[in-house]
Amino acid sequence: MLDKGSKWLTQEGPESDVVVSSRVRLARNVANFPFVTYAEASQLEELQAYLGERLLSIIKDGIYLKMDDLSSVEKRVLMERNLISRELSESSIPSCVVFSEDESVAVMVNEEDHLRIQVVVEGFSLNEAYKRVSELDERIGEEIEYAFSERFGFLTACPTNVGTGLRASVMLHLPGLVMTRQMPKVFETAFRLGLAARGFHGEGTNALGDFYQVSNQRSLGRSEVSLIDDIQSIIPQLIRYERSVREALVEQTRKKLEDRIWRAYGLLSSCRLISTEEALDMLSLVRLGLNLRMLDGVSISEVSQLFVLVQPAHLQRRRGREEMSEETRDAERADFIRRFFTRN
Amino acid sequence: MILCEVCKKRVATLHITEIMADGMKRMVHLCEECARSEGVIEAKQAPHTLQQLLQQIMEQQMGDVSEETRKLKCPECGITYEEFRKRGRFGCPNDYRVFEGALIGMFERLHGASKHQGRQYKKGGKGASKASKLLNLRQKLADAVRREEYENAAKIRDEIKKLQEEEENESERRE
Repeated sequence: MLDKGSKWLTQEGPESDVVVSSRVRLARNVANFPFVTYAEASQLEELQAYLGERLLSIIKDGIYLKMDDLSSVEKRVLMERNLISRELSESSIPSCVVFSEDESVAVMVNEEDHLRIQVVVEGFSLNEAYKRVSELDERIGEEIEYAFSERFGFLTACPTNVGTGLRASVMLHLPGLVMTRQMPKVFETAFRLGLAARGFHGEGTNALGDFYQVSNQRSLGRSEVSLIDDIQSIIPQLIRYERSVREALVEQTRKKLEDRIWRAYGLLSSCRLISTEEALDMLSLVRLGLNLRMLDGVSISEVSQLFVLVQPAHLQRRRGREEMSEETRDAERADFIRRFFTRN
Repeated sequence: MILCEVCKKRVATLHITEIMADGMKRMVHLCEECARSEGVIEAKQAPHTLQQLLQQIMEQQMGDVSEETRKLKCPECGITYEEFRKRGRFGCPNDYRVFEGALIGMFERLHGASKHQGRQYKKGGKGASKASKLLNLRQKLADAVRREEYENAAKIRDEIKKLQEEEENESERRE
């Protein structure tokens, strides 16, 4: 698992020059059972085992990982691959995750809710992601009785998720907008539409690698389809915006841009020490360069995988070491990237 | 101690030097509240995620909630409305029924609506309810044992055995 990125990452979906992936997750709970924060450890352990077993019978090529069996580095690897949330990776509650081999489907058990069902699809494919997750949701709902009320919909542990329990999000690569300092406008537009926009890696609005995520916030009072439509409508605008900014940059500052991009390529091909932050920043420029056809020598799918593989827990786990000093990690990272770039 | 020039009641904590058009200077003394309402300093940051809004609602003084509502308690998990507000999390699905009245207002604020308009869910087929019945019974068994209600526990254990046998027979028949 650690040598390759998620299989779905290796494919390029629609509008992949700007949209990396689309994700839909559903929050569900078991009927007549206390929510995660109020249940006893023994109940949660039992629930985890029971749901894990059911999920394995439903998800094709499913892999079941019990959180208690994993070391903290291993949990962070899962988090880096977006199979589990940071919350689950740090939780000490009996929990597990069941995911498909290609990692497009992942279901967390006993995170904030009993079930968090997630489907990711490459590129701008919210409808596809929604279709797949709702099919899965229906099958699970036939095996397990969900907590549901006609008035309030699917009942969740936190009021922010009640109703449809749906959170749809799109991950975007926006180096052009970042370079031209237009992100505040993007945040404002998203906010005005009732959507949340934040940097994908890093806290709050800080975004490593120029990756951003736009997602819906409300989950009650609207149908699933209309909530997804909210995001669907803003994304094409963002795509156009980013593309036009990139065009302008190429037209007006071609040499400067080429230089930045090739310097990033050069750095990645030869450095001996590199931090996660710097690696992601450089990879972002390389991804841009590939999309603008200013660069070759590495494929977009390889770059997409690198974004995940250079992260700290992945490096540590590859070396089988639990403890690694920052410098050792930075050296490992540099070696790993160099090997990738000089393969061809 | 200088009093606020606007309300003349509170102590001024902000002392601002205003430079007028003609170059003359003038000192203005304001208390924090008046400074905010005069727009001199920014009002508290408006929440920009749903989570933050929820936080705000939760932190609000419970003055807007009647004593009666505060003491509402779910018979299944034992959580009170007050505790729910403090924690920001529900205890069990039944809470939604017990706190229904109070929740309507909260959901209007959070989601702009309080009635579900999405997918309808029919409690699953026989398989589903049996499965969750089993789960439920095991949970009741653990509770009974903890409370040392051994007679009750024995009864529940028998029920579980019966259900399990039923499940086994069913799966054998399927195979």
